Amino acid sequence: MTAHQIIVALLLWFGVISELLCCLGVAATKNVFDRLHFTSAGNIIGPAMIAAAVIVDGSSAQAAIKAVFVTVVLLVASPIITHVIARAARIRETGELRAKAKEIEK
Amino acid sequence: MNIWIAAAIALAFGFPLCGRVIVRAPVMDRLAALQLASTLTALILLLFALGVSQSSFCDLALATALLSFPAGLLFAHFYERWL
Repeated sequence: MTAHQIIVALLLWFGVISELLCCLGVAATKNVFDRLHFTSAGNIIGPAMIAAAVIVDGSSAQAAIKAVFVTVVLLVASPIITHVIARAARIRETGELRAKAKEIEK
Repeated sequence: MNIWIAAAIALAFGFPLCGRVIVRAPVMDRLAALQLASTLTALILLLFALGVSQSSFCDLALATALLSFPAGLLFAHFYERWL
């Protein structure tokens, strides 16, 4: 196994393990706001590492470009989706987005 | 089996964890888990495309990633007040 292959394997498995840890986090936490932390991390770290592995592998330029494009789409979409879900959860929970005086005092 | 297919199979172990939340948790928690599951789907399709050396199959991963974004937005928009 060459150094090049080891780097590809490290990047790939780091991405896979981080994705699985995010899934575990989503399953283990009890609140939507806690779960969203793991969702957004899973949308960024795993895809970025896997795209890096595909680029370093270098066997197909077309696949590398598409992997980067998938990662960019997820990187752009993730903060928007996270914000929208958190906003919707807050409105469903309390009926309004603005913090109440009681919550600010805490 | 090469490293890409092995990684895709390993990623698939995340589905039962997301599925548990999608089946049991309250509705907004389900949406958070669904977003993570759609990211997993895109990555698994990407890794399978690399595993079988058909880079044109990467379009499936791209389409999944692109479509999961408006789907999540629409779900969140309607769950916010109307459903």
